[in-house]
Amino acid sequence: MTTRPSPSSPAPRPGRALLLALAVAAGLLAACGSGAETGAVDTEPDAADTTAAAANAGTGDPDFPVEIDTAAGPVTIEARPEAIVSMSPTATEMLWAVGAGDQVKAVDSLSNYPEGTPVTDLSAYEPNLEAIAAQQPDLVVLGFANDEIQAGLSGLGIPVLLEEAATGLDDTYSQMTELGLATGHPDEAAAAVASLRSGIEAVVQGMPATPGAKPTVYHELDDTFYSASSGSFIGQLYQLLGYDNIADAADPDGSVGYPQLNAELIIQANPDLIVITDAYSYGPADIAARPGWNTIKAVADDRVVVVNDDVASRWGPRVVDFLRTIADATPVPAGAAQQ
Amino acid sequence: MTAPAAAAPGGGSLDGSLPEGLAEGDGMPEGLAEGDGISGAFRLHPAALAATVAVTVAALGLSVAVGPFRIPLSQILPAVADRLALPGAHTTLTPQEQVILFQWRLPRAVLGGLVGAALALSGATYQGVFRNPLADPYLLGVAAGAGLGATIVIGGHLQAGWGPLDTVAAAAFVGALAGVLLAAALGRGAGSSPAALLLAGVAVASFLTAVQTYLVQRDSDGFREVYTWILGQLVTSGWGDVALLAPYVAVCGAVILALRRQLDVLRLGDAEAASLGLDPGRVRLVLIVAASLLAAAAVAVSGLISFVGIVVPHLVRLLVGSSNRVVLPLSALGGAAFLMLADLGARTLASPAEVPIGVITAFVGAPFFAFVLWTGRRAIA
Amino acid sequence: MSAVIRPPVHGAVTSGAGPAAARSLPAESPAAAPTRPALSLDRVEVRYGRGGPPVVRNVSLDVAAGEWLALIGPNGAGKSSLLRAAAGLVAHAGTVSLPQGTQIGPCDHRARARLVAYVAQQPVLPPGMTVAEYVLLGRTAHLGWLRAEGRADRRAAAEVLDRLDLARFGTRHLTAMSGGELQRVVLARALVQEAEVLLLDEPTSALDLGHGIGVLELVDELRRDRALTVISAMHDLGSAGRFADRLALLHQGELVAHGTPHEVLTEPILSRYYQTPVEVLHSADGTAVVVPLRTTRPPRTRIE
Repeated sequence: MTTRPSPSSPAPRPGRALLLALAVAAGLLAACGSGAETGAVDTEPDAADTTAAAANAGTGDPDFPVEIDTAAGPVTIEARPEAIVSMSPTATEMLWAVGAGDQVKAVDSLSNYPEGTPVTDLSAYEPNLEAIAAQQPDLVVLGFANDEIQAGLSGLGIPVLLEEAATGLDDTYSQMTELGLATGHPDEAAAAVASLRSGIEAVVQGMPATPGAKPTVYHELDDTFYSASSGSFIGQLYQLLGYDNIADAADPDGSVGYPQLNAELIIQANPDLIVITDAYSYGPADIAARPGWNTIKAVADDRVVVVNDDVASRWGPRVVDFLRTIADATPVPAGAAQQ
Repeated sequence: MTAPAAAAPGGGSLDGSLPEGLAEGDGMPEGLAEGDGISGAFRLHPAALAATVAVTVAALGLSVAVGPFRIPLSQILPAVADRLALPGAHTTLTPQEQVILFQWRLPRAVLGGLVGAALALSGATYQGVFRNPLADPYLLGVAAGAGLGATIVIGGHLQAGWGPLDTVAAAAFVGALAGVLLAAALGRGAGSSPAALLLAGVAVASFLTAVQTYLVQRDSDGFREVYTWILGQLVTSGWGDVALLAPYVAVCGAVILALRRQLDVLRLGDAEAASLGLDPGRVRLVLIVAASLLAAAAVAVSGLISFVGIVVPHLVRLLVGSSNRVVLPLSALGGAAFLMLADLGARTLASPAEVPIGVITAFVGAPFFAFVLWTGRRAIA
Repeated sequence: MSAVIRPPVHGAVTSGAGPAAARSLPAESPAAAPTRPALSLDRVEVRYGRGGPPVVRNVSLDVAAGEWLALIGPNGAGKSSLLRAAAGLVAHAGTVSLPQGTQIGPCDHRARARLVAYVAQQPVLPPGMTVAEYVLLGRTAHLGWLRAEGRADRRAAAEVLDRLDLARFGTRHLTAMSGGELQRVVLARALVQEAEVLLLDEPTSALDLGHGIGVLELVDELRRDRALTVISAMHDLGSAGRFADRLALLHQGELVAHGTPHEVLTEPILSRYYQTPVEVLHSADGTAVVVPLRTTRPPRTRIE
């Protein structure tokens, strides 16, 4: 029934925003607390690390050392990491997808996919430098920018990859590629990206032709009508499938990403498809019971789809599953044949 | 009789002549006539009441008329008449338009009005009870207490209840009451200045919020619901919310308004109020309970909307008068109007997107609060 | 210990007649006739805080109907506390009997307020409240929980305002009144209460000489007109001696002397309890005038 809010969850509803703010505040405090300590032990591990890297380099792994150009600047990884800590559920899914799963030593508390991830109580919301360092990682993947943690880990000689929330599918592909390079699986990563691309392509190709007006969708993040417009990652997926997003009326230039809609607008926009997540305990029946919502086409035609909140809020390899769910729920216009 | 002669300032005598520089009443004749101010004392002027009612009705009308869904203004009144089954009434609105009008806009406007009335009335009551112009449900730890109470019940899966009476509301009320009593006790210990009470309120609110945050962080799973509760807003209001809040507003509002005369006596302070025949402790307790119940109920349906409790009563005092027999009823009405208009702003400023209503009230309220803080230093002894 | 310690028998020391004669005024006060006590304190003790030292110890006093009793004594002697105990505003041991011999529970403020009116030394003046409203609040004890002031209450307030020549100030805000006017307004509020006993805590402390005397004369007049019993804490011994029928001298919470001004305002008593040498002179009408003596020799030279 209930799903843990994933750190990559895009919803900006006040609840999460508040949680996030608290998390950031707490994170800053925690980081400040441990910052002094890292300063004290600064030089020693650094030296030890470089020698280890040098020794490793001597063994001749052809993929290492590798320098990765990330959005945050180049990151050099001296040797094939064998004790990765992933602080992002999406990155965890990607690591497994590129075949680096068995190099992952620990993941944050919300990294629940795939089965068998080494879940710890590390908090992605409130990353704690000491708790991460205690895992003795040789690579840390973060989902949120966090200067204190990044600086702290760098100070300990631990490379950090920052894989922030994607703004489009290209980000997904490039993050998978980066993670493949960083873990010594460039070929598997390329294959995974190619298969993801073709999977998505296939879903898009399979969409029924819509000769007339595009079908419309309302993606509901919570029961206060926060939604995802085309300015968001998930909104782009709907675009890809040929949908008009009713939330775009409230976010014409896509700068908001997750506008809160007025109920009147939703009824008036009369979407063909309503998508809700399983993050809350309400379902299609509750949607239909809202006053006036029975006049909405999606409700009348029984096209209120419940998607897994994790799948809908992560930008990893499972986006294709999400796309397939939406495609399957898409109304077939009269006279149009499935291609 | 020569005694009072000496008491007149500037050596003025008592035989009817006024000392220089002193204006006489309203120019009314002396004695038992209107000019002695007795007949007008504590009276809520009908014109002020009529004006406030007019503003409130106008705010309600505007709230119902305006929204992203265009419903022709000329069609609204006939639709309302039709709804009320008035003879000869006929509406041309589509069923969908009627649903939007009667199931979304109207309950949202009514709920906004009820929440505004509740917050303004409880703010005015706290200000009277604590003799502190800056007292406000949110500054006294009331909202934080309500939030903590709700968190404990929701987190502990102790929800149960029927209609407007349920364990979450009860816990929120107990928490609200605990918050304000704690702030009052702390504030009293810290001295009699108005700032002491507020600082105590801030301390209590921070503490309760910290406990709540800790509980939420411990188990983020079950606490989505807590946030939905605390951050509940007018966006999703329906008649169900109205039914939930209305009994509290009716009962607590009636209690508070019934004690408006006593609240005026309390303005003299406990000792003098007692010497005049009032039991200050009892009156205070009844009023604090009623005001806290109002605030907790408002928080339950609308979440944290700040500054209503401070802006509205002060506007009334500035514009109409300081007697609680004027301030309390006009604050309730004015609070309703204020929040309906704020919600109108929330719905239309970024239409069809929503702006959080707290942003609007704070945008108006924060500068106003600063103004009260500035001028209030002089106004309070 | 002192000149006149009140004997245990109530009413033995004074009746209304004595003090009136002592003040050499035409003794037409209606208080002259009855001798029943309007207010009777029996072994009253007041402490602030649990286990604190008593600020009023074992004070027993009767005040006859129509009488004016002034509580005097050095700072911290317990005058205000005794008044507040009599007004039921502080918890106290012992008994306070009100007019008609009633004893009223500590929480029955309403019943007490119908019998005793109290004027604080520094009354609270709510901002924005008009004089008429303030005076009308004096009717509180006559109103039920859910009743507002009626026609009769408003008339009573209007009459008092008129009587104290405040009618023209009715719509004025309290905060716009001068000190002398304010003291009359506060008195008006107490009068509207229609209580038999009037307790005044330092009624003239905020006033200059002329306004202070004016207020005391007004109180005296009202006492006669309305058959009031007045108990006032007073700082100024001269005014106390001139206006009160009887004085009660408190020292460290104890009643150490009490009787007519002549009996109490004596050099030995005052010097002892005020801990400074005083000289008591007598004016032409027989009232005592207390003159403090310097304990150190004043310098002869003055700096111009």
